[in-house]
Order: sequence, then structure tokens, then C-alpha cells
Amino acid sequence: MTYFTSNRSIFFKVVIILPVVILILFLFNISLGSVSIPLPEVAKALFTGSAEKESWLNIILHFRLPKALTALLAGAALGVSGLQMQTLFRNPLAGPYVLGISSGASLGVALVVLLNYSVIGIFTSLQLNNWVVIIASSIGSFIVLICVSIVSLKVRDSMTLLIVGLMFGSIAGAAVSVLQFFSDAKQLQIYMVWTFGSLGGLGWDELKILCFFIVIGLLISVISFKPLNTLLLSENYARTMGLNVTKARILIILSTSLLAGGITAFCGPIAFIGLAVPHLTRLVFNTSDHKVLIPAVALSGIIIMLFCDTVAQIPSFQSVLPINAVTSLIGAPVVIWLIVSKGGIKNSFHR
Amino acid sequence: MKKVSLTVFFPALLMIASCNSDQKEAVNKPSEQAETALVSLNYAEKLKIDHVQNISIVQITEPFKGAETSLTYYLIPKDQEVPDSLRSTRIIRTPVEKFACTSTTHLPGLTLLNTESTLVGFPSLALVSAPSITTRIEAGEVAELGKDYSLNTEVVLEVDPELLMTFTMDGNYKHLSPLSKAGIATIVNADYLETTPLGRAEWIKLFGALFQKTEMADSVFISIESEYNRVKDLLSTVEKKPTTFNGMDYNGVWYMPGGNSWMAKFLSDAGADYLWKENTETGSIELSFEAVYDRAVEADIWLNVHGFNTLSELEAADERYSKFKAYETGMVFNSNARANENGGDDYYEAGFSRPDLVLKDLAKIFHPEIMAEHDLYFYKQLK
Repeated sequence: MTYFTSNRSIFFKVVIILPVVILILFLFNISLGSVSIPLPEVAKALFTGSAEKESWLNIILHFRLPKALTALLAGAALGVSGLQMQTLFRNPLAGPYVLGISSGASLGVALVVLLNYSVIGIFTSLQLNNWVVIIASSIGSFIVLICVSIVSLKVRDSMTLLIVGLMFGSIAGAAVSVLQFFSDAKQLQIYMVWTFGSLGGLGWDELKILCFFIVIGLLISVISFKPLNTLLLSENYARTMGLNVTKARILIILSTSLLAGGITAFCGPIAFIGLAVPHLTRLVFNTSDHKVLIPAVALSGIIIMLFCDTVAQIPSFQSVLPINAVTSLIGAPVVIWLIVSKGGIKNSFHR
Repeated sequence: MKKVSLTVFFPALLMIASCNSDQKEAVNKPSEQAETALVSLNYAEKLKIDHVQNISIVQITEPFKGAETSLTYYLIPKDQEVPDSLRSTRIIRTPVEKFACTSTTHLPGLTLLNTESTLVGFPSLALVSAPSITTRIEAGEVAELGKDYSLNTEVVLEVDPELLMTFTMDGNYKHLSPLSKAGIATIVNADYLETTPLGRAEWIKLFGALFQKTEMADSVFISIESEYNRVKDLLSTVEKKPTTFNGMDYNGVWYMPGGNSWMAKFLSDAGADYLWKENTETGSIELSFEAVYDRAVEADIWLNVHGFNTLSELEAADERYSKFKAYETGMVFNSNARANENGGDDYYEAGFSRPDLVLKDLAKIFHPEIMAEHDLYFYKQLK
């Protein structure tokens, strides 16, 4: 436990309080939904695998549990990837999608959905197979990522890279617009539905694969906390400190693309969490040390994602709100309030 | 974002566009004295047609969902002068000889009245199913007017139809103003807002008025109506009504037809027990997957899994679909038996104007023993 010895209160928060909050929210999340299931039955289903009604057991095991776990992965992944991007670019407005990952994914999905009939024609159905969307989205992100990585080997300056990422995003966005123009209403609707983002579409098989990517992404992130701390000062300083900036940058980009790309592929682009959670965490923990921030951001991301998803359910109401609307509606005012009450975020980037 | 600015626009447009009530009275007044024929519309709620001295007054009472102002059109025969009192109203000269429309659901208005030869333009020609129209398309007699909502105004101007039939989801008529300036009449069709199958089919009478085929339209409708009611009566006495539900999940939202919707009416007429029949919505309701699962897990029949042809495709899209009883028993049906390779589907063309055929299909699905002689037309069972 030497990891946190520098500050006992931070250790207490990260290792005790946040996980306890997560556990409570997780159980709360699973026990709420459109169908009201008594709490004892929820517990029974979770721990013994049986319930009074078989449909309740199925709802908990195949609807609510995968969704809660997806929220868990998405919160951690988007939070951490946002943190990495903000540090790499030393820009508080950076988020997991600045490198064009979501635009690339959108382009991939748009190509498959919107050109479905005319060009590819490999699908007989309008409703797409989940895996097709996942693969298309991953390929889209990956291509944009390769482009950005090639550029990142050539340019010394992260700001240039940021602009290049934004430009790739614009190109992909424009290509999607052109595709939308040429596709019919039904296909557009399918594409739009994907862009709304959703945590609820994953079955257990998909969840396993997503989990694999996210764990690797998080591991890379954890081992690169030292370069991240050094990069916070300035790239030139990092160089004089003996840091291989290019190597560090590639590691960080790789981790981000696994995290943000994975979530985008499986859940669609989910807004706000990646931008806001790092700020919230820095303000709450009052530190910019990535040794603390990486686990704290991951845990805070989980908390916020679970909370938003719980709100989106609106218990015993028959329908659900789009997750993107909820994350922004709830998250944005909280961030504004925190930033104003703490006198700005300027301090976040200096130790 | 574009949509928002347009909806801001629309009240102003509507005010300009809405009819002048004085002029309407001018025509209506004599009608009270002289006995006038009123085309009887028994089912349609969004359409009114009056006949005053050879002039048909067509009123679209709800041009789009939630519209507060109706639209009135004066259909004046070509051999008759336009009365001065109507000069600044919306006038359509009949019979329409060069016609263009914007939805496949408008096309049966032509095929049922044998007026296909008037069609000169349509957007998304590839989606058309009716053979009598596709032959005209192949012969190059129908111009491609653009893609869906984005009507290519220049092509419309070049084709120069006498009347363009369109529809609007949000009261935006802005794209039509260059057309009316060029003298192309337009008419808004709101048949999709009807809440009963026969109400929707009754819009054939609007086409009857436009093409001066009133009697033919009436007789076409009467035969559809009597066939529909015959099947409905046949089913009204069935004792066991299979439970059913509809549609599928779109990224966490399951669109289920409301209890007062067009589809719900079909289901109740077809002798089915629709699981959301107690709902009062006329459109669709948005449900979560688990809410649908909870209620419909034991349902007998599952309808309208859009776009799917096989059960394995359905399971591949989401494994949770396979947990419904209807999936296990293979009682899943889809209305795409007549879909074409370009993404067009006759169900979305002829289906709305032939509720008798749709009802027979549904009756066959729910009560095959009663409908032994009928073969599924629009629907098919997933393999």
C-alpha cells in the first residue's frame, strides 16, 4: 500500500469511500427499472440465481446486470481516456474524442448503415447485427488513429497533433454528412439511433470482449502515470528529464483508443463523461498527481455513469431517457458549480 | 439543428398559408340554400370534402401532428372559370392530368383509380412496387424528383406537374414556396395521422375528387370497406384471442403502437389480444426493453420485427429476443413479404390503402382455422 502513503485522506477516499459508493449505486441501479421487482427478489436473483418469477430473473441477469456492468466499464474508460488527453495536450477542453476516435467510429458505422443497400449489400436486414456495427466502428476509429499516430511520429508538438486530430474528425464528420444526404429516412433513423449512445444493448458475449479491451487500456494507463506527470509540466521539460516523449505519447494514444474506441464501438458515442469527470476529480481531490488521479478518475467515472444511468431509468416509468441527454443534463451544471465555487480550473494543471 | 430553425419558421408560414375565411364563407353560403352533395366520409377524421356547384372543397383538418390550423383547397373543374371570390385561395384545377407525389403511400390513389398515366414525377423511384407504375418508370415517363425529404426543386419545376402531393411531419412548407410561385399547385396529404385502417383507406376519395373519379373512388372504397367488415364480423365471435405484441428494440427504446393506434385497431379487429390495448396513445409509445419483456414474454405472436427475415438474424441482433415465447415457438411475423431489393416494400405502398388485405393477413396469423382460404399477402413468418 505504499502507492498512496503520501496522503492518508486521499488513500481513504480512493480505497474506501469511492468503492463503497459504487457498490451502493450498483445495487441501486440493478434494483430499479421499468419493471418493479421487490428488493429481496433482486438480491435473491443476484446471489442465488433464482427468483419468484422467471421473467424477473431474466430481467436481472440479461437486462440489468449487463447494463450496470457496461456503465461501470464506460464510466472508468471514458474518464481515464479523458484525463489522459487533457494531460497529453495540456488542454482542459480535451476529451476522449479529440483525436477523432468518435468521428472515425461514426464514419465506419455510417458507411455500413447508410451504404447498406446500394454498395455493400451484405445484409438482408435493415436492423444491423450488433457485431457488424462494432467491427465497423472499431475499424473507423482504428484508421483515424493510425493517421494520427503517423502524424504524431513526425510532429514534436502536441498542440499540432491536437489540431490534426480535430481535422481528421472534421473530415470524417463531413463524409458522414455526405452519406446522410444520399441515404433514405429509414437508414438515417438507424444511424441516428446509434449516435444517441446506449448502455443497454450489450449481451454477455459482447460484454466479455469489451471488458478485455478496457482492462488492457486501463493497465497501460496505470503504468504510464509517471510520463503523464512529467508531461504535465511541458514537453521540453519532460525531454530534459530523460522522458522519451514520442514513446510516452504513443502509449497514451494506444490506451485512449482502446478505452474510448472500445466504448464507442459497443455503446455509441457517449458524451460529457470523458470531459467532465477528470475536472471533477481534480477539484474534489485537489491534486494533479496521476498516481492518485488515474484510479480516482476511473472510480468517479463509474459513480457518475451509474448515477446517470439510474436517473435515465426513472423507476417504474415505462420508457427510458437517452443516456447522452442525462449525462450532459446532470453533469454540466455540477461541473459549472464546482468550477465556480473553487475559483476556476487553472490550478488543476499545476501541482 | 436545421429542424429547429424551420419549426420556428412554421407558425409564420402557416399564417401566411392558412386560408382566408371570408372567401370560404363566400362559397359556403350558397351551399346552405342549394342542396349540395357532401361526399360522405365515414371513417376519415382528418379529411373533409364538400361539393358546392361543381367545386369540391377539400379540407385537411390536421395537416400534421398537432397542427392547429386546417388547410383548405378548392378543386375547380378546368372547364369552369375561377370565381373572383376564390382568386386568392388555394386552387387545384381538375381533373389533374400531370401529377407528382412524394410518398409510396400516395401511389395506390393512382393504381386503384387507373390514373397511373398522370404520374410524371416521384422521389426515390427505386422504392416503387406497383407494376403498373414501374413499367412507366422503366419507359422513362416518370422523373426522379430527388431523395425522400430533399425534393429537388429544380427538377420539379422542369417536370412542371399540375399538382404535387406532399406531406409534412412538422408543418414546414418552406420548400414548397418556390413551386407555388411557379404555378405548381401543392396539396398536403395527412392520411398517416388517421387512427383507423378504414379511415386511412378512405383518403382514396381525395384522389377521386382530384381526378374527377368520385364515383369510382366511392365504389373502390365500398368494396374495401365491405370486405374489411366481413372479415371483422367473421372474427368478432372467436373465443380464444391470441396475445400479441409488436416491433423491436432500437438501442434501448422499444416503439410499441399505442392502444388507440392504427395498428392496435387492426389487431383488435383481427381477433387478437394486444397486450398494450389499454394504452390511450394514438401514435407509438416508447418502452424499455425490460418493460416489453416483462409483459410480452409469454405472448403467443410477435409481429413486425422490421427488416428481419429469419429467426437466427433476430437472435444475432440481440440474444435477448430469443427469450420470448413467440420466438421459441417460431410465431414471429413480419410485413415484408413483398419487399423489393431496393428497400421498397409494397406493404408501405398498397398496405395502407388495402386494409382488407392486411386484416385478412392478420386474421390468418391469429386464426388460421377461420381463414383457411387466404394466403398471406404482405406478411410472412420468420424461418
